[in-house]
Amino acid sequence: MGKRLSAVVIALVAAQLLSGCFFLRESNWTKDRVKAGKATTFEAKLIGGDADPSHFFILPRLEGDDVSIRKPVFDAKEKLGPQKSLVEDAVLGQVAVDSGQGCDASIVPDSPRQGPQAPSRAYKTVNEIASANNKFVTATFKAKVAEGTPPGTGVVGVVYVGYWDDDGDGIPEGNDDDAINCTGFTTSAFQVK
Amino acid sequence: MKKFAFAASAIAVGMGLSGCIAQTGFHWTNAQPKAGDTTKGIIDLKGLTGQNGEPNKAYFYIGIIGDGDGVTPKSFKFDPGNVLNAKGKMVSDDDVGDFADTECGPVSGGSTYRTETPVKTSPVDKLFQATFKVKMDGAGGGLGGFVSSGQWFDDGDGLAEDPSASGDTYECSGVASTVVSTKGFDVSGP
Repeated sequence: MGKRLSAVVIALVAAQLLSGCFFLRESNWTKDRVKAGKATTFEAKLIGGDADPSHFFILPRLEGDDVSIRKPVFDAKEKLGPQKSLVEDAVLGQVAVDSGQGCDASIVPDSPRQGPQAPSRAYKTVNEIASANNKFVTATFKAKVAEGTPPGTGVVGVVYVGYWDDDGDGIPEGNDDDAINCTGFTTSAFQVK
Repeated sequence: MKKFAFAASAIAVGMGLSGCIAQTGFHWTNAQPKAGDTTKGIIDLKGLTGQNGEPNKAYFYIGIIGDGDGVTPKSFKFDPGNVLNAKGKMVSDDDVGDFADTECGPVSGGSTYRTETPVKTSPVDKLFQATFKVKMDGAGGGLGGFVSSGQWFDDGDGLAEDPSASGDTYECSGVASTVVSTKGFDVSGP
């Protein structure tokens, strides 16, 4: 494998983890080894909590320009109704990393790509999602490996899930009136076959 | 119904993922077991390339920290599928968690289990697992927290020690937040 796992997650506030709509309980990739030009799917398995409606988001921070995120979906198995496509919101992702609770990650200096260069694009539900206490829900996205990526390349990073309780202006701000919190995260990795 | 939540005091988590084994995923065989039942937590692991000069064997550990009620972790095992030919029980050693925490939090203050003997540090490209069970009390219960894993490089004395005051070093494989609870147990905080 061409790259060592090398990341640091700082100042994650665990107290935030169980105070939102959906908590991360399990995660996996459908394929741990992926051919260049192909994709693998990340499954974030969630359990619903009891909270006011808010936007759900997933924030994959995977190292590498060789990977693109495709088709992020909330409720992929349609437990709460039709599945909902997630839309990219780079501002939400950056605010979450900069000021959100429990969402800050960076890459240590010996990594080829340091923290500020790691993608911080969040993918959110268009509308706020009502709580679904104790229900199991799955959010997914595909990670497509670019053609020509050398075999053995490792793709590593951290994937967060969280919520954004918009104050009504549609702008992620990450303050008391516009809370952005991560409700779970996992380190993760897969390899280019 | 009893709720559980993390302690009100914030737990600052500093975590450096630097190990030669990557924790790539985590799941339960049954994430909502019945009261009195047992479920198994499965940590998916992948071998990476090690650093030059690094010892080729180290203790592998699992740390669990969080808040719970009516849940008993037990039966920690490394490589149960014997992919690395290293299948074995893991033993409780909270000292490993206490010292690993400075590099690999969140571990300190929780329960830590390590392999009985050192295992290969860089099983390159191998996909394997470590597992443990949790038994739910008859009255039901739940656990919310983190499952961490990593490696302890002992300096030869068999004692987990502060890396700043010994030859011991610790590396992280990864961490995942998780929730497991009996059906109907309220996982939300107060």
